[in-house]
Amino acid sequence: MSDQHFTRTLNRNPFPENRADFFNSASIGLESTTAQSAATKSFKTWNDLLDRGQTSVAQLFDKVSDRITFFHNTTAGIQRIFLRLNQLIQSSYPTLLTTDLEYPGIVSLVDETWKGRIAMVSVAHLINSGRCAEVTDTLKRGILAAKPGIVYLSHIARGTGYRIDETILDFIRNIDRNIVIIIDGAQACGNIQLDDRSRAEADFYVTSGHKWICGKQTLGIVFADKRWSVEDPAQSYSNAKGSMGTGNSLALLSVQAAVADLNGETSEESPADRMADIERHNALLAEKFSEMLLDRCKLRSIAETNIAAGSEWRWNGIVAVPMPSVAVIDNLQDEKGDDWGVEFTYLKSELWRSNVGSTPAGKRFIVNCEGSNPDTFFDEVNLRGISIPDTGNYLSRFCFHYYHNLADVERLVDRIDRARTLRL
Amino acid sequence: MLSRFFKRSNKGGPSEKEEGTPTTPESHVESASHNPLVPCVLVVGDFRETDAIGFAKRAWKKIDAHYEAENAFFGPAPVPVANPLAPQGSHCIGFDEDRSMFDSPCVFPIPVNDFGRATSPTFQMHILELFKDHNIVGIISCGTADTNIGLAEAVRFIDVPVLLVLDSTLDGPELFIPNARELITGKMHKNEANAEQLVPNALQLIPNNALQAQAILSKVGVLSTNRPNPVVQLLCFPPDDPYVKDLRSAVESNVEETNRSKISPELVDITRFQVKKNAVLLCLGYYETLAAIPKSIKNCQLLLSDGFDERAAKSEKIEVGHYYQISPVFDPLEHALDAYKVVNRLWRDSQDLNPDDLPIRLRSKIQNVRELLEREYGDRYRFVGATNQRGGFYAKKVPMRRRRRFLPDPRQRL
Repeated sequence: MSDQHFTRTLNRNPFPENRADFFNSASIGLESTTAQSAATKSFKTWNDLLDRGQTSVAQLFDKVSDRITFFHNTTAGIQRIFLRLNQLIQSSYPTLLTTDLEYPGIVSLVDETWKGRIAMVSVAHLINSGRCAEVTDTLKRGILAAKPGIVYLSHIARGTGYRIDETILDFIRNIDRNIVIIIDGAQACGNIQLDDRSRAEADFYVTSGHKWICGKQTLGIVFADKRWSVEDPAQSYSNAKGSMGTGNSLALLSVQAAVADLNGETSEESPADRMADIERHNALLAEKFSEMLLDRCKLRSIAETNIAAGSEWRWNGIVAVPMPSVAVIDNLQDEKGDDWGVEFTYLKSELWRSNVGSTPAGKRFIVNCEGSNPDTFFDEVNLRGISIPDTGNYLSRFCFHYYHNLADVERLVDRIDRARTLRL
Repeated sequence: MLSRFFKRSNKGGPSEKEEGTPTTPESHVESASHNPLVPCVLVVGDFRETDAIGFAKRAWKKIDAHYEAENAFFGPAPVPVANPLAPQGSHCIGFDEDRSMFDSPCVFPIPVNDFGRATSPTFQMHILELFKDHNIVGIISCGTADTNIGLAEAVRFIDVPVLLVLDSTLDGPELFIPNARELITGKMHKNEANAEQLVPNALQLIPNNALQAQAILSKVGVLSTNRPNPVVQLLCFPPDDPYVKDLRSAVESNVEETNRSKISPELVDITRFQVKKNAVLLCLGYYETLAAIPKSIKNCQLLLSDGFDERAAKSEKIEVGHYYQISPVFDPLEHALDAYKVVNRLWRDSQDLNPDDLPIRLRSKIQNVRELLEREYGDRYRFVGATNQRGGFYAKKVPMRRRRRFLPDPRQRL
């Protein structure tokens, strides 16, 4: 891909003026003006609105709209999945396996609801130390060792942008076809093209309408076989007879318009071509940003740390960078004079969960596949009050999306450079 | 690390295997150095040449023979390493990549020698390493209560069905931390939230010691009939052994609960061993117990618990014409083979999912194993909780096999 690619902006809906300084799609994406105005339009009936939303979102998946269910937010969708699993499991409690790359809110959720064991495979340290090439093998060993019945994985890790090797899904299916696979695609959907494997092998694929999809807050979207019956009768989004509760038409209208720009409806492209183009664009900008940051500011992103160590990095729109100090972060985020503040996420130290709520009986383990004895291999923990693994160096996350171009990246690098100088 | 505990054989048939010789790859197997997807079952027990009760070796032979008879799809099974200091050999499990592993009727059996030290961290870490590297779909324990204590500690993190074949200890299955509650039958803990800690993830194929105690006391009752003042002596050795303690407790409980007023076992101290004339001597222990007895057993009716093996019939310590061996109705070797077959079946069945039957995917595997055993081998298995109620035990009369030394040769008398 030539540099010409970077200088252009992809054909897209118009975005607000501050889009050039907005690098926060992994948290709350920027809403296009088209999506904003769509939200003000009228609609025939609630069911019609839902149907349209499902049809548009389905194009990002496999065009089967009855596999799409909306929820008030992503957490509500995942809560519903676990409620259904608990109902189906009845009196047996398989082990739930996840990793330490997950969103703490989800870890809190499963810690509070899952009655069986939770095995959290430790892989974050591998990514942070440049050993991301070992993640897939480590994960496979953790799965073999823990014999889970449920596996919950992030398609793209929120903290570092690490993208799982999708062949892990084949591996899971081959060792036991009964394992229920849940993929958290909050950082993937709208950022990268969803491949057939992720759709076909995952029992549940979960994402958000307000991150990389760039819709209004805060719809949760669950893609699942209808036989799982994830529709929630307590939410109007379920479009089921006798449904109750409220729904947000503004969010539905906005998300439908936003998705139409990603699935090729607006640009009259196939969904696969459109998202492949967007994925390539986001990845190239992220890679360019990372290179420039290293050259000009001597700041090494997590991706560059891995590449320098000989690991392959699968670029996407997320770049995580350990910053030299909190002062640099403050300088960047601050609006001063003619400088606009840059919007990005400073991933401060977080806990897996607070002390609120209860934890059922199932034990919780950190699975350390490098452990040399049984107690270090399966380290029994209480997830309350435990800090999640981070680099300890003011990790900051920058997101590059289809509304950015090379000039935006150069300006961002320039500002980071100036923010460093200000500190000095 | 795996190869420290077993080596590959170098021949195809079980009779041709030679321990310690590296594997010669065969053309139809081992195209991959190691395929972690290959389904494996661990056969755990004491495989030492000496000091072992010998059951694990016989059970392994039976399982291995079945695997070979079913064409050994994943290549020849490993040979148990008898010496913990044996040099490393090669190990790999693979198959012709042009075929599907689901063409195999059997899972790959791996013998795991606990060397009589199953509670050691080394053994437990070895089990974890096996899990880390292999797709282990079940464990068949052919060891004693001690083996199961260590094994339970090693797999306390892991949701895999464990089938106990030999050990009849009452709380054996409860050693295994479960993930399923189905096996609870009317014995729910008052705090249901702790169910995960209480319900076994194991099935005991051999009947438990409560049933053995019934058979023992029934025989003791018969032998005491027509004796005005029957004397029943009880020797328990080693006294701290989990199996011995458990069986003694079961016997004593049974005496108490059934109000067998005539049977009042007197405990015999092995250091002051004295068998009363015409007494019924009940020995709870192992073959090694006989060696610990300071003098010969004579002038009594002798009953040996199921922990004693067939070597007792040749023991110099027994100077009676015959003794009674308490044995399970079904040969434990058959239980071992049943266990292997049912794990094979469980694995094969898991490939034929009915997509409409989603809850099936979430059922505990131990529950599926239990149903398979009861359905396929209904004459031998009917479980209450985790224990098998079919079969039970009986007392077998065993004549001593050697000529008694103190009797002169009858021909010399002539």
